[in-house]
Amino acid sequence: MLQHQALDRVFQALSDPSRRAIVDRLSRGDASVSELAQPLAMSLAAVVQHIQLLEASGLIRTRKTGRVRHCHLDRDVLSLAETWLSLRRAMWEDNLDRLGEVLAQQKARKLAEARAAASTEPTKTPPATPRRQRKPT
Amino acid sequence: MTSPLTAPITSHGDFSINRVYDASPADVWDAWADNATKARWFIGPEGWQQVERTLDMRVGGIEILHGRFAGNGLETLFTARYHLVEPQARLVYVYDMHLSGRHHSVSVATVEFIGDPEGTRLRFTEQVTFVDGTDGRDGTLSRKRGTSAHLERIAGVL
Repeated sequence: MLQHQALDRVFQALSDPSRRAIVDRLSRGDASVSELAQPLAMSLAAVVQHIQLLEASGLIRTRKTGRVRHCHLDRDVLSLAETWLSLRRAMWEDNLDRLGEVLAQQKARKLAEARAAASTEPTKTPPATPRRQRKPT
Repeated sequence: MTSPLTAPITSHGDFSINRVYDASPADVWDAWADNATKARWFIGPEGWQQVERTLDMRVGGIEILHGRFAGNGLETLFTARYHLVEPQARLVYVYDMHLSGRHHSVSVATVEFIGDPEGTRLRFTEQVTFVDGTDGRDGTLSRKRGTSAHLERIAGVL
């Protein structure tokens, strides 16, 4: 199972269409940097940058033979079954974090309302309509 | 016969997530049971827009969350059926996930609401079967085809 940080790097690497095109090309076999650059409408320097980012994510490995740099896709990193499961887990973690924020907001609002009610009408019971003007805290 | 490299495969997985919320079990439960409150936290990632949302949280009741990504148009459809509804205690539902009309996964989700000195402990467990099998037999990317489409779809839900 991929660690979360590693997965973030993989997703970041795959978030760009050019990098996806590079990975797609490498899924059909190894290629040199210039072979990868050929179909892409960008400078060689830009392609090299994309390749460096892909290498940092662990998705691809490169090795230099003479003046030519060869690129290879690491299929273990890109196991889809794992990727989908990690993605699903990440989705739920985001949602459950957001649920925590909603609950915290609700609690803060209730507290502020109770405080406002207490400060404006200290001797009376809380009003039936909680929508009363309150001072900013 | 289908090529082994592109044959449909299934993969299975499960995970649990624990959270402690500074709120009563009643408040945490309401955040799941009330459609308007749930709409504030049960949403897609950035770029995702809601198309339709319904919630009928009774045994046999259906929940639907349909959405679309603005950028690439990828469509997400979550369809759940509730199997166990015990207010402020437990929730078990089965849900399908479709991505752009394609059946992606079937899951059993269990949510437990546990009273805690600090508020409420929530435990979410999902057992999932991914049925969207254009994966290679070993669970890695198909060498011949499918790679590009898969990458686009992964990128779509980032």
